Amino acid sequence: MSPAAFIDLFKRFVLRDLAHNKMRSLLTVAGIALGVSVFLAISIANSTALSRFGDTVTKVSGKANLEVAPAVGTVFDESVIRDIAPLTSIGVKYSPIIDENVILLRRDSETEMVQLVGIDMLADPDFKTYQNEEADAKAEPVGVTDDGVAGKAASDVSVFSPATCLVGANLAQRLDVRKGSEVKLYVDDRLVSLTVADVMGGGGLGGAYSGNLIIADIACAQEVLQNGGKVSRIDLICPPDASAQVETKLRASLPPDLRITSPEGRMEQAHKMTRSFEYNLLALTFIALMVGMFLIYNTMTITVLRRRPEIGTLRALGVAKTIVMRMFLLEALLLGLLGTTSGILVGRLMADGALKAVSKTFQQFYFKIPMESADPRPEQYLLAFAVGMGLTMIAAWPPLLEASSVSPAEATRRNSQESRLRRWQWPFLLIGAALLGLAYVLSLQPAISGFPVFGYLAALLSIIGCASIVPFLLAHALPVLSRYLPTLFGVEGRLAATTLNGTLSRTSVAAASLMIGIAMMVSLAIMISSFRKTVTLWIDQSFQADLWMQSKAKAMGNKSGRLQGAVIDEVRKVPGVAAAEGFVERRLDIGGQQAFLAAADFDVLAEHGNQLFLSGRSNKEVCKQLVGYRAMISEPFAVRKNLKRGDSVTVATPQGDKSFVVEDIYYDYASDLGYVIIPRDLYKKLYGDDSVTSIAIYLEPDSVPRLDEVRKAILDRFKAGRHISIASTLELRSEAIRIFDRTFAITYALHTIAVTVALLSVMNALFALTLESKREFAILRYLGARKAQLSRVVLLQAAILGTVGNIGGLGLGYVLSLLLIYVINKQSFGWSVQYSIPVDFIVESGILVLVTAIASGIPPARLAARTLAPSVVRDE
Amino acid sequence: MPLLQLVGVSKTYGEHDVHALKQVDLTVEDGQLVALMGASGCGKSTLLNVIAGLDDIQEGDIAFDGISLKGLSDEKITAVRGEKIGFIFQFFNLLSTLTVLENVTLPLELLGRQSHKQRMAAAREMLHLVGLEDRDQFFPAQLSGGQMQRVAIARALIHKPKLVIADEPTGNLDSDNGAMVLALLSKLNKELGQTLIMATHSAEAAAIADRVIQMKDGRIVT
Ligand SMILES: Nc1ncnc2c1ncn2[C@@H]1O[C@H](COP(=O)(O)OP(=O)(O)O)[C@@H](O)[C@H]1O
Ligand SMILES: [Mg+2]
Repeated sequence: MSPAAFIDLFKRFVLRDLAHNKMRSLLTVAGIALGVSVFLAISIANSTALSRFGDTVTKVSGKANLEVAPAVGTVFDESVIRDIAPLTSIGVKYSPIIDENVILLRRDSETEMVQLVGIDMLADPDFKTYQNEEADAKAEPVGVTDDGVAGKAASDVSVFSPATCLVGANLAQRLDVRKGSEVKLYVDDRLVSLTVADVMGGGGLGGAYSGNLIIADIACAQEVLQNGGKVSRIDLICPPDASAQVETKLRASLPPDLRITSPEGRMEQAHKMTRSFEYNLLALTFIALMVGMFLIYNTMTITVLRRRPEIGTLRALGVAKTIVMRMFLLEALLLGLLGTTSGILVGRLMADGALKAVSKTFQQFYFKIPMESADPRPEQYLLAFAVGMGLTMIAAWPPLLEASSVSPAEATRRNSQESRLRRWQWPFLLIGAALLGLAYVLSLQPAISGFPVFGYLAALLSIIGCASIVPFLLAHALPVLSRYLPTLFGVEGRLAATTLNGTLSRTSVAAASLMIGIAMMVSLAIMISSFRKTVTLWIDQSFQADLWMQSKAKAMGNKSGRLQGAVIDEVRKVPGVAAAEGFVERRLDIGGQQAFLAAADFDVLAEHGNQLFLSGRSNKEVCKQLVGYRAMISEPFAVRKNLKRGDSVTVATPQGDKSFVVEDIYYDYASDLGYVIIPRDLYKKLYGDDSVTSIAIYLEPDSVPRLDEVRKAILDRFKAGRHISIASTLELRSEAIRIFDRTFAITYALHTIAVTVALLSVMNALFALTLESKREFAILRYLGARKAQLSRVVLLQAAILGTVGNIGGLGLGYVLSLLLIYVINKQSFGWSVQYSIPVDFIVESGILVLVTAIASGIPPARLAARTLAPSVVRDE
Repeated sequence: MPLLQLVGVSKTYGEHDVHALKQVDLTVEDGQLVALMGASGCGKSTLLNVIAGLDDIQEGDIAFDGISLKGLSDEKITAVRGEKIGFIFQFFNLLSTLTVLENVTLPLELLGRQSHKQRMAAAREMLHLVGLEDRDQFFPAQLSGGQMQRVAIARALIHKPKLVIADEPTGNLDSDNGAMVLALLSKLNKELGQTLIMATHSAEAAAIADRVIQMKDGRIVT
């Protein structure tokens, strides 16, 4: 066949059909576009976030190739410079840096977290480059880092006068801050003012944190933080050949609780930290792509099945198998191309939104980098294109094979493919059962480096397994229905059931799509509701204190905002207060992973608290044991580090690594990072730190009703210059639940998509079925069937599909929810979640799905009613 | 009063302005067996569809059983067709997913009249009449062409229609089966007094008719 003839045939045979079935063609394109857009948006967002992070790290660290940082907490004593200074003799340059979160009080009284960077402005030019905005504008293109400019620009401004700072251009612009303005910062429980000496340009350090930072001379920053000679890091520039030597020397001389790493190491760690989040996004992408593939498969399969006799006719007329194959291949390519290109366009638009979500996660672990706009790389577009086209082709493959397998004889045979599926129902059933069995085995396997690979695989196999069983179920259920439905719905009932049975393959594809959509909805609903219930129960039981006190800075989001330890004694003196328990938490670097080291007053906790432990032991029993080198660890930490009761955890302290025996593991749903909690008196001794990050306040029983009065009394006591925040347990609880719901909002959006797509595929199938049944409808018209009766047949078919989809979806959804709760989530986050089924929600949404399924039958039903009897029958 | 009366009926098909029927006048009395003959494309099927109210007409009037079909709503015409007309097609047009018995009871079920029992009894009676009572649980695909057409005849008659319309009922059958179907139709007409209008090409078919009408280019010529 000549190419021109092929194109002609393609136009007439395939393109006209696509145009005739606009709705379905559109749906398919939209499905691919959805998958590709989510994929692209997430990949752009992720890479943008990581590259901004890397950018910030290099801008703050300059040319440093080694850095000294604390293993516990965020700062350490600068006195270690003593040990570093001698290294200058071998060409090492060093510079201490402060790099801390502070809370900025804006003019509109809102707060936001910004980064305070303190550098030794006199010594620093070797490390960083700094330009003010004018210098930027004059010569240097933004982003150029040129050492020469630094010294000159720095001498222009009066950053050396007390309580002054430089402000990043982005921050300055957003908050309308300029030279001479004042910025107010919450640090711990204090409010500090700084005068802006200048606004920095975007090049060099000024471009770190995307220009959302405040830079001060290190002495000034230490004054602001009041941390008495402490620094966040010491950056080192060593001659390249000496770096290994320097590292060994430093390890020998520096205190044991300091880490010597490289800036790249820090980026590596950042990457690791966001990995579980990334995997979640990956799962989202995965679902979106699956949905797209499924739609392609669904549409193409239905098209091929519907057109079998026509394909047979073409074959009988001498069209070769390969030509048939090529035509459908071209159709798939065309749909894939349209879907992928529009997906790429939409994905680019979605990337900014996705970036916001990703940057929130970064903030949780590190610092805030406002990331308004994503910067995609060209290869990401290419990758998205390849993924879109590749998956489209994979999904289109089975229908392509199907099309090329049509023999010329089928031109005359109707429904030949149906008897084939009927014969295949048993093998399908066996395959389905085998896949489910395999899924079960996979679900028992452990995670691979914290990622539940087998859990996801098991979910995928369960979905395919259940879908394979659908033909068998339908082949047995539909004859039964055709026997009993007529008593309820008259002859329409029988016609609906028998027609569905007559086109078993299409019916199966539609029912399976709906089943999968509903299963996703059901499983996510079960997971969220179980989780929510577990969390509320946990809050209600383990949050025994009446009031919770923090510094303002901590309340506004700076995790290391502190209160002095003496505050606890002050609080205890307030009338009505029965007890106060100090709690301190510090970032902990443990084996290159992030967690928290915390310390608590276990004696108070033993009497008043109610922590829940995996062992089932009582709070008192466990807390009484927690003296000396014993610790309790949170469940996520135990899961991540694979620790059990009686094992030990090693934590870096200024006195060297210390081992703590795990006394017990407590349930903790507030964080998946993991906590190691040790006795506070020991913590004070080991780290010389008396401060706390929060205080749990227990009231006398008779004061509990006067909670607000006591709260006010405490606040009054600290009025003078102290900025603290006291929340009641009730407030904490509702805040926790608010955050919970917000976190899962995206999940809800996801299941709405899943169900919508499923319903669309039901509509898709019903359209195909109606077109297929045109002849039957025409005959019925001849026999005196009313239009309404024809509509009713289609609506009943929709209802049958809806019901089957619902039932199958409940079953599969149950399986998926078990996998989500006991395998996927457990392995990703380490939380034990108590299983609970939101019956109301599932019943309501089941009904909603059924109603919508029936509603999705309305357009095809109207098509059926419009059947023009004579023209259809004449087609014979 | 005649069962069917067409006065000046004209039918034009849409875009291409095909004048399928031109000023057709026709009267059919109760109990007649009318054969409609003419070359392919002369308008036989169109005439039958128009009589059954399946196609609308541009001019003229059709009165069936004392009711004028002109201006009736689709709903009403459907009701008339369901109750009073039975159809037999060239290609049988049985529903492939229904059994023989279910195909035959279909018109009664669509009307929603009679109990299940009565319908079954009526269907068995009809199947007996066409000699296929032992095939009631078969699917159409398991029958021969002649058998399928006999099932179609049973289906056309089950609700005791005033008029049976047959469009080339033997057109797709070999001569033996064709003869059997014609004998059956003739018997129905003679013994039950069933009114029948049949479009046909074949002389054998015309031979059983009371009246033969010749059509040419959308007109009745005799
Ligand atoms: N839906 C239609 N649109 C246009 N022309 C039609 C249509 N149906 C039938 N015709 C034309 O009307 C004429 C009569 O057709 P028909 O009644 O089927 O003839 P017969 O049954 O006698 O072979 C033919 O010329 C045919 O081409
Ligand atoms: Mg004809």
